[in-house]
Amino acid sequence: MSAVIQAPGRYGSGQSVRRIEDPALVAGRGQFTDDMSLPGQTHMVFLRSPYAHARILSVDAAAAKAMPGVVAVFSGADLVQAGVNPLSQPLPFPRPDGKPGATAMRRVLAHEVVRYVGEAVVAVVAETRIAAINAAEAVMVDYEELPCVVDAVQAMSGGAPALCPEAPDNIACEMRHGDAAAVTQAFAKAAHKVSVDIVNQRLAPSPMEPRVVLAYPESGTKRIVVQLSSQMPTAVRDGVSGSLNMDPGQIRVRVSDVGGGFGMKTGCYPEDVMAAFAARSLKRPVKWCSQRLEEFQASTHGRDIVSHAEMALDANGKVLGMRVRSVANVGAYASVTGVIIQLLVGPWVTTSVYDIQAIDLHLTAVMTNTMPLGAYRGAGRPEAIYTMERLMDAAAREMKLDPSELRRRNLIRPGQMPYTNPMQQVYDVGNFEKIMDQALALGDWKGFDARLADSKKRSKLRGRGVSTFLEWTSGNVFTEQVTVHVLPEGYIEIVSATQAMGQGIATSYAQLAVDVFGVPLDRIRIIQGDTDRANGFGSAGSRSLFVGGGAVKVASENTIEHAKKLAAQSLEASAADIEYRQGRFSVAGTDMAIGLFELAAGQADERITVEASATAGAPSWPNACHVCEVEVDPETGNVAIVAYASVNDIGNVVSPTIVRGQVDGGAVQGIGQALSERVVYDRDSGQLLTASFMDYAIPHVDIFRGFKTQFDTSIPCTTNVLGAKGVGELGTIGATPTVVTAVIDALARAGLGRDAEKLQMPLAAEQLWRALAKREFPPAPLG
Amino acid sequence: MYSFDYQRPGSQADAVRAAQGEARYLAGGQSLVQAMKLRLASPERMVDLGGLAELRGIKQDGANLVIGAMCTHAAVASSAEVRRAIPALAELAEGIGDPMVRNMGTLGGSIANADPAADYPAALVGLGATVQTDRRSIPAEAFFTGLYETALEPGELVISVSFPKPQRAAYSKLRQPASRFALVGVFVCQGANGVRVAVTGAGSSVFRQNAMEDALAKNFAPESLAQVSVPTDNLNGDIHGSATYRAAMIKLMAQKAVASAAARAGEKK
Amino acid sequence: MTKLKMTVNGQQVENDVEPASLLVEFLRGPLGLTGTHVGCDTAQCGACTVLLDGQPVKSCSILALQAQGRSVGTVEGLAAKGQVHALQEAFMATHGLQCGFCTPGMIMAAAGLLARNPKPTEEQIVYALEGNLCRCTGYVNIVAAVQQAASAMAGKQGGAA
Repeated sequence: MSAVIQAPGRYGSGQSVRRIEDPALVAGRGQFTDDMSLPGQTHMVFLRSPYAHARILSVDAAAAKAMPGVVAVFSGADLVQAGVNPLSQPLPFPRPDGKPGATAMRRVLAHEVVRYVGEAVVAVVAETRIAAINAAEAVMVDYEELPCVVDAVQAMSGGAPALCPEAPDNIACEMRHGDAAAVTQAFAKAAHKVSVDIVNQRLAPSPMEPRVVLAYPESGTKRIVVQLSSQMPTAVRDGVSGSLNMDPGQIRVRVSDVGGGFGMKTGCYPEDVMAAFAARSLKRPVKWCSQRLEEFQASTHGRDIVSHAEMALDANGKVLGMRVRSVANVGAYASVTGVIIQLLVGPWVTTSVYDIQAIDLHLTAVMTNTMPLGAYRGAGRPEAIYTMERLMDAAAREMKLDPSELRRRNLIRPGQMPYTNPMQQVYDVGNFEKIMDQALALGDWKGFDARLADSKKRSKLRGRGVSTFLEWTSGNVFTEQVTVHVLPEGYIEIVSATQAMGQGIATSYAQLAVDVFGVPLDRIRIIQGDTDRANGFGSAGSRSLFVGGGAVKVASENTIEHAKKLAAQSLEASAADIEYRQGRFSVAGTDMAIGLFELAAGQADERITVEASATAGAPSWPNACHVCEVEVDPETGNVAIVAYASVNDIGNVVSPTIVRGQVDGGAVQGIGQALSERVVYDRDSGQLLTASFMDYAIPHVDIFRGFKTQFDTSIPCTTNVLGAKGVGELGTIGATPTVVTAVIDALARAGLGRDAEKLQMPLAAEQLWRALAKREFPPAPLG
Repeated sequence: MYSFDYQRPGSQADAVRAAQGEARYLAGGQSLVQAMKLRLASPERMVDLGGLAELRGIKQDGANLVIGAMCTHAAVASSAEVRRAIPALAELAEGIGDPMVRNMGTLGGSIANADPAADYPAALVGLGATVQTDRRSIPAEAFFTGLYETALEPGELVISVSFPKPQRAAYSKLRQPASRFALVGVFVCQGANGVRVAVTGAGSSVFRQNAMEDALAKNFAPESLAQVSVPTDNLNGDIHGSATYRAAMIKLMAQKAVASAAARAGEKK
Repeated sequence: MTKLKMTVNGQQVENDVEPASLLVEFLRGPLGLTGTHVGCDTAQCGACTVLLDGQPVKSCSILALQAQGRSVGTVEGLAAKGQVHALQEAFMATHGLQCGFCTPGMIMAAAGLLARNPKPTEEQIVYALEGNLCRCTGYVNIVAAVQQAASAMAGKQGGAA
């Protein structure tokens, strides 16, 4: 297959272009799911559990059903009776006792037991939202409150209430990786040993658009259409159909504009199934709009893993081995996604960019009376990279080495590529030292002391942090399929099962198509969000470009090749003599030609259609070095980011402005975790204390804007046709440890020394104030 | 929210008449509409004061500045009168909430709501202001009586607040990082009635800090507060800040406010 | 029901509304102006920002009836028909949006700022956007967009819209 790359046009890959998504969005003509309404539409509202753990004794909906405008009220018992299946799937890892991974069954509506505050208990459908809300207030649910536990370490120790009988210790499953004996030996001969205790706190992804589901019966068929804000249309189709005992083909999922996803809108939710069930039962459209309160209560949370991590080094600072013991809080119902993220995906990158072969990882997934965990930007990699960078930071401080120097002594060298890490993951390429040196220069690492003195004059503490890291991408699904339609109206439609959610993937795909077709950018239409037209894994794990884009490239090239044969027929020449250039096929050496769209119009079905798939050979391994400086006000404990620089290796870049937006926007989310975000459940009552933006602090406009962000494109990925590496999660993964170690550095320099490593995220003002004023620190999470 | 009857009177007298029974006055709505959305408040009748231009004035009255109850925070922040007479008050107003809140939120609405973390209560108590209602005058310290509680009787309408012009004053606030309300806010004033220090955000309601006032009366400088310790009794403690932290920040914000106030040129009366 | 008369994007509008109806519900529902978005329930996110007599306000915190007799501006009315406002142009040029959900609110808050202060400093822009949350962009290009729009509008001697 010859590569049919046109001369890189103004709008082809590598160029910064205006996004094709933008004109509608800036004019307020976006089509977010709540912007759509259908005739005869009903509104659904959920009554959610006020208790963290309780038996449901009875549900009395009589009064509610009699209220004006109420169409139906459903309880968990109703759904059981109707044969609606729970959503839980078998877990891929066993319990410590060798029995299969355990979880209580997560139902569409809770039945007999509720296991977290906000779990949906009753669904009310009414003609208007107000009528539904009023009726929900009239539903009488009788609960018997049970003791609850919200802390994972507490949950697995004896005496805590058990969430399901198969797991009396609340352990869903457990994994060990590596070679414990080898690590013990490494520690025995180590010249230096360091340990850190780490809290990677629970987060709420908080996309600005809350979830919305609009389910309706398709006219003329028995199918149900589920229109919703989601990153994974096919997963919703399969989850809904599976739960409702329907053939997947009987559900059509449609997704239009999505106001942010960040992993929180992956998979299939109970509300998705409930809306479809209600639409099917009532034969009317049913719309549910999540309130922000419900987003905090009942949309997947991220992270929430605590660790005790240790590292052994030789006299030169070469890491000999590492050992990490982690306990992950996966929430009230353990899901495949939730446990894989912490027990497998994170471990895949634990050793990161460092040449470390001896690891001993022990990870336990524990259930508690909290919202179930799922993917949140990075999904396992931020947690693992944070642990690794905190260990490096501690070791550098212990050995009194420049943190970049310690890293330098441990970075995998280009000559070691391809490199197999101790989790059998193979990195194809990477020049981590080169990236680090560029970032250190960009961040003027060497000039820190002068800035430190300046901060001191202004009575501020100053610290710097550096992270070198890589990450794993693909979502473990390496194939995407794309269909190309050349249409007589003059457009090229490209249909993909990946999903736009703000990341600009449509523009990137269009640029890849322009590379091949050589037509103007506005001739390309990217079609996503319709399971009748395309099915696949969807968008997660930073895969849409290097996997999905690879398929766009291959399908576009295949289309040209196929069209050449059609052109040959049309021009009565041999295919070998057909040339293609910027929308026209011509016979070499003649002026006989036909336009691409004219050719399409002349076909029997008035279009040219080609399907193709592409498979990336492996995950891509984007990597970077991030450098940051902070100032800490010792009087209040407040932290300000004052400098941030990064050099990122994402291989070939298709859309320069877009990828920069991904890194910077992702970095601000990472900063949010470092400084201010935390989901908090009350230890005694299990009540959610952070249920709005009044209490959950995401960054505002004044957080920091001076990012110096560069991309080194000299190290393309060798395992996919684009040579590209994923970028969507890279900034988030890098920012958190970089900012945290900078704050630790600031306090260490202020006299706390290694005690500063006892700080935990979020680095809220009071914690820093207590550390400085009173030498008080949060307790280590693992006893 | 629950449904209600709605009236929009054209005069103050009509407003007071309309507010008999289970009615609430609607000023800017920034607190009340929010509470109603969350179904924490459910009046049967709303009396919208939006049409009462007579409540939107700012005027001098001898040694006082009188601000109408329906003046928005934005209007107070940008008023040349306020900037000239009590710059600390204009600065406080421009730090309330965000621009959209300031365009709708009003002085009267804010004090009637008496949020424990609102900024205005600290200014009223700090300046020794007097709240003028349709039926009486209430000194600020008697006005704020508890958590979301005021001395207002049912149907009583706040008309204006009369602020004595200080010699010098300032407000310093430490923001709760999520809501950006005051975790601790301290208003310090040196005026005709001596020194006053009013604290918001830290307790169930605004309170004066007498030990600080005594120290500052002797010497109006931040150093005077170095030896003052702030007790933690009755201070709020929550996930954003313990009582211990708030006590320390009360002291710090007071010192900052004193430094700002002391740096001001003498006030014009 | 109470009769509500106001001007929306320059057009006279007359409807009967329930007193409990919020301005944002009125705009998105009966008027079909879905460009103004609802992102939270505690009036923090600013996605619902519109102009009320030229001033940015959160339409989720205002009863529709509070706009009686007043003029409301939404993102749909920012530019003349068929045209693109300098702010919209700037957001596109600087990659000032990703998912676009917060964008109308950002644009309207910025429009209110520039109407009052055509040459804002960066600090003044940040101050004007404190009530608008974005989860995608990290704000960098949003501030740049407002700066760019301000220059463009100043250059146009009187500016668009």
